[in-house]
Amino acid sequence: MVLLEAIDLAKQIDDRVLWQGINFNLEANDILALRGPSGSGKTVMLRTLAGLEPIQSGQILYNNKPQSDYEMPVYRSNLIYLQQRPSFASKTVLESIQRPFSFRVHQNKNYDANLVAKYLKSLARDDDFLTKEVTKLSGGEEQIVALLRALILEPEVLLLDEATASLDQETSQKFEQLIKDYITNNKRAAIWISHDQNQSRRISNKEINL
Amino acid sequence: MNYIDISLFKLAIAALLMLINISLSVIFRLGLARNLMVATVRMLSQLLLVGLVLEYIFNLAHPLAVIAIALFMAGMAGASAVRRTSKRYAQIYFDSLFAIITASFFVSAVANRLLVIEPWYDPQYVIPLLGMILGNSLTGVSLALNSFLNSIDEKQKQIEGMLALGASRFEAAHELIKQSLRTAMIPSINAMMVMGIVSLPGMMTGQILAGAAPSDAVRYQILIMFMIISATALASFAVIMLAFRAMFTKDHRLNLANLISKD
Repeated sequence: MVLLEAIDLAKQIDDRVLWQGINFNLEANDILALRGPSGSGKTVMLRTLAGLEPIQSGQILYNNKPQSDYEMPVYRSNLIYLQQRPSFASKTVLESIQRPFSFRVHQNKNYDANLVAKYLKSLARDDDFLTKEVTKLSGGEEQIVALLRALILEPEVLLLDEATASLDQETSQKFEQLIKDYITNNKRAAIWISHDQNQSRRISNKEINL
Repeated sequence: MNYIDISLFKLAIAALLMLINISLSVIFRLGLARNLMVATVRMLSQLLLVGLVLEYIFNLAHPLAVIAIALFMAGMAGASAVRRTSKRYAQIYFDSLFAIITASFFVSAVANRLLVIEPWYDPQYVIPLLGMILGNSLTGVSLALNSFLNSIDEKQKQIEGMLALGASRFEAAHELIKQSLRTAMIPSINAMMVMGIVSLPGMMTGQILAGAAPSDAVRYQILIMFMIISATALASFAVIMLAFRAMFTKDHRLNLANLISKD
């Protein structure tokens, strides 16, 4: 089952071609590694797939329907993009991860405290973590909050932009395992930018080089 | 009317008060002399000129002349509101004009019918009332635009973070819209809070000086305050929504390319 399909995507900024002729299929259970040197436009690609930047040429199909046919909030609630450096508009971790449930697209979903506790446990954090203030989080903790916030919305596709860059080795591996479990248990998929070659090899079954 | 006439000679004596301050600045090298002088001359010439124009229009008492001066005043207010913002976008002047003109004309029309001004264009009422409304709407619109556009720039990551989680453009900007409206309204709300205690409003003072009974002057002041506050709120809200529309695309993207920093 193909979830996401890119057809002949190209992007040019001023006169410089960032990438062109990008084609791929993302199926359920796939983790695609998006690779390339700094400045090759990996983040721009992920933002385009997330619908945060307009498609310049080519097509993106989600469930066989062009991106432009979707209401963007609906589209983005299914393909959640995790920023390289996450940002939070609320005071505590708990408020931050509950915030999206107030958006109209998520109104049929409920915040599940047990699920959050389970995810936290698999990342070796306890419930106290939820009462922390977001301004006092370390870079790695911010990435954990961003992942939690996305996972509990149960997206079909996760778009991860160096999602473990600020984490220590041990937490990073727990983080990977959590994502892998999420994907295989629910038939989801992910596109993952990682500068760590070992990580790329560990987690992905496909790759694209920009 | 029972007020004391001010001759040009008396004004000249009053101007000596300014001269004292300018001399002090020169003697103690306070560096204010130039600014004070320029401001004094500007105030003098602008007010004398306005006096002439108003007198001309009062004598003309023609609806088209009143509408023309009203549009001119609103246009100046709309443009001045933008002049004080540090960030801009392409249609900002149009948006500011539109917000100020619709809000101030609407509120003026309501007040006009409430006071039963006859004829409706009687410049003695229409122009001073509009002037007071415009002065405050200008401040509101200017604060609203400045606050909204600056926070869009500062919080772009937060906004995009919310959009990425499925927020609509309105949901993502809601906090900023709320904050900017608050910022725009705070001076007006504060003014109402202390009115009559800390400050005696200028219009009321003027009416009392011109011989009106204080209780009548107070009633005028209350009416004008309601007009000012509602026009300021309407204009600020309208301009924020227009700026919001300019900064986000229909498909819920943040359109930062539209934002220009003024240098």
